[in-house]
Amino acid sequence: MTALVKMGGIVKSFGETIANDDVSLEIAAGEVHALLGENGAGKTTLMNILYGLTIPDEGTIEVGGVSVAPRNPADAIDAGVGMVHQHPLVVGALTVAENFSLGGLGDGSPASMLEAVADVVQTIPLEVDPRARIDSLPMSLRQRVEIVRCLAHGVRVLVLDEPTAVLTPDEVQQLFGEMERVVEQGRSVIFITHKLAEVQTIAQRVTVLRHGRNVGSFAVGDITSAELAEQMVGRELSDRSAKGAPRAAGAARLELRGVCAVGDDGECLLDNLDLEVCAGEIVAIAGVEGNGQRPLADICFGLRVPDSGEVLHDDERLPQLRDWGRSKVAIARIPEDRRHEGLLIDSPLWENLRYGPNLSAKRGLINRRHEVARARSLLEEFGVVPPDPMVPPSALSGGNQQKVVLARELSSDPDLVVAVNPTRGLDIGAQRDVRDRLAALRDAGKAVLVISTDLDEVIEIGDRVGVLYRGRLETPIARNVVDRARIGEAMAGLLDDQQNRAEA
Amino acid sequence: MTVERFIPALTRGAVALIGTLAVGLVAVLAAGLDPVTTLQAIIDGALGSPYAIRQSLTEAVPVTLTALGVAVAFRAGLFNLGGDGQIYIGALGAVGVSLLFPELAPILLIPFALVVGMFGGLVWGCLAGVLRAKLRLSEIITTIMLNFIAFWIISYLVHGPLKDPGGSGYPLTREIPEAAQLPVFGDLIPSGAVLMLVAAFCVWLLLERTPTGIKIKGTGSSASASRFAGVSMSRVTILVMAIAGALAGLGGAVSLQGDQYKLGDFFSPGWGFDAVAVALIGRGTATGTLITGIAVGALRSGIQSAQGTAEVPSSIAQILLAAAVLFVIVGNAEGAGQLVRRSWARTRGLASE
Repeated sequence: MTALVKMGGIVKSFGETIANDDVSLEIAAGEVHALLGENGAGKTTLMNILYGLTIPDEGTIEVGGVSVAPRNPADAIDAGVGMVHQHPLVVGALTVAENFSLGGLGDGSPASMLEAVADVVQTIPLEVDPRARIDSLPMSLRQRVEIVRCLAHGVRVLVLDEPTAVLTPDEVQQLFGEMERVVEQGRSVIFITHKLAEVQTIAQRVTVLRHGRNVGSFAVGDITSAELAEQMVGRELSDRSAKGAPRAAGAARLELRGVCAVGDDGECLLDNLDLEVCAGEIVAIAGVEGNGQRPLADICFGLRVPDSGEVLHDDERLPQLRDWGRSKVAIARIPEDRRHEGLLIDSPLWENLRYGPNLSAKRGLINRRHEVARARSLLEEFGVVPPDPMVPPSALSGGNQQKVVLARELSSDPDLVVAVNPTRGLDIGAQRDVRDRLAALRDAGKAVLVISTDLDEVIEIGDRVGVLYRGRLETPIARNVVDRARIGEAMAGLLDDQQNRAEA
Repeated sequence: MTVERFIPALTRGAVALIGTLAVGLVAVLAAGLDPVTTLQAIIDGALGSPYAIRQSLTEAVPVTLTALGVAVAFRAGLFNLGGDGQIYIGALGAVGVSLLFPELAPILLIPFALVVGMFGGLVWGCLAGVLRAKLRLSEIITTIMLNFIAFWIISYLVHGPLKDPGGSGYPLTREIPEAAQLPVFGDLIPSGAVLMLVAAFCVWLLLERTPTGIKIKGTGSSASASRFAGVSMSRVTILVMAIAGALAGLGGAVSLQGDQYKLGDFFSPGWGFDAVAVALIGRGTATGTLITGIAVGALRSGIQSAQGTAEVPSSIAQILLAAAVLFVIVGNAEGAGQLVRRSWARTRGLASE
């Protein structure tokens, strides 16, 4: 195999977050190489480094046997690397032709531009009026404009960052056709995705990233989707799953009955979903990112009203979040993104510990001394370091930030806890703390729902375990009868396909 | 506050002060003036006598009141560039009430006119707030446009229906009756200055001691965290623009009833925009804005007086103010710069809100 791209020992950290931890990657000429991983696994960072948008802390890059160190995209394009982002970076207010000229194709006139792209459009027909404004085009055509632009610059490696996320199934097929024609010319495509089915369809080889590390490269023919799913979400699936039957759970605290959610483009996000979370149990929902976790969480958080079906909290209809303060709903909520959703990252901790639905119900003046004292005792109770109510969360580590979220949410003495990826991005010790805390809540008789893309976590802490795939959820089953191979298959959607085949 | 936290603040202050004075020095030299006598004349004009102090305070009141509103808006991530429009509508409300009910006793007429002026500003600010909250129109654009609308409404009125027939042709309303005019305490402290202090205290209370204040600052620092906290962005937006408008409207009413007594189409010498600078230099806090506002009032008043005594051009005041804003932002990436960046980010994020 001749490696067209060789990345070696790439390290990149943002503050204390290590996005890429000694990642190496080889891409052969003429292949579609999938880069697979959960959100936050470091795929985009790695490719931004290749494309010169991010400067690595350590590591080497070779393109076509020549060592390069791109400091910006222009360097990368000169070296033969082009990248198309999920939301194409073409300028919306300009026409297709003007966008080409921005990149330095032709002398600026539409005619010369088209000449420059003439070769490219023979393999990838542009099928758009060069005088059309970009923002009048659908996302798929914007992507195509970017792809054509990259190819017209003569790039040998084309990086596509989750291109299918914004496309319809038909458009995905069309894109795959274009990718095939590109690699036929001896160029390579690096295809970032977290969708297993797409890897199997289009890629020849796949590299899996997990928590910023390369966990392995495989020829697609040699590995099943279920194995890939395991690689992606955690392969050291612990034996903790065999820790015996869960104890009997109490009354239902949260019930979802026939819940459906429909996206902006009419696509089905949640499909007739039933779920019950009872006092004294942890229900853990596994699943690969983008299979309905977000709408499911938003519904439980009171941020989204299901398009049909019912959501009951303690046998009463769950009100919308803005009415929680008034109707005394106490549900602890651990959002997926603690920096942007969970916390006011630059405001003092004592304000953060108040910032929630209960604040809306509060009247009158704030007794500052009382608030600061309350904050200090909460921070000490939850072991936040430093327990200083006046510092902002931005001064804390990720684990301590998550403890602040927990402190706030648990201070209202909830009987139900809903957590999304509660340990993502935390170090091992902080993960331990958070999971222990959730288990302690369960032991104290609270109902706990954990939605996580980390299969280890789901199997470790869930009393009952379910898998979310394409907005559908089978009734979660007790962990002592969970078959981990089966979970892997369910996450990859294989059970579903088998069922469909059986039905057909 | 620990010493460690205090030092950067001091450094920033020093950078701003030295930079501003350096620019001022260049401007003064370029105007062919002697720096020492000029400074002397300005300080005398600003603080040299009870009359000078009274003038400085009078000059400070409308700009500071407006700036307090701008500061509240900044904390919520909103730009209120509509101070002038809100001032004009506030003054219109006050002049209308004063001229319609001249028979009322001062104890009734003064607060009545002030409240109507404040309400006028509130409505004008609210308009921009509603447009932002409901139609996602940038308040940066709408407040400026509302300035034009307010200005030309007033211009029409003072050239036409409200023009003083005995005013020898000047586009001004009649003078408001004495019963509507604000008293000056002890020939030194204009009552507007007292209102300014009260307003600053209320703004401080709002921002630092109320749940609403936490929400205002919260929406300013993170839209996504606010959504997750169940805080309604649109409610906060409308509330904040209403507060900003009311404070500017009060500023207009106070200037009318305590200083100018007549409304004309050059009623505000640009207080609305000076207020943005003042709120920025004051880093969006009530105390910072109050202190800066008083300083700017004194500077303006001092230069106005020095215009007569030492022929200092009034544009020096504007140059110094602009330089101060620039150096405060340069020397202070955490505070003023952040206010601007956040507000700008919120504006750019309009489409995705």
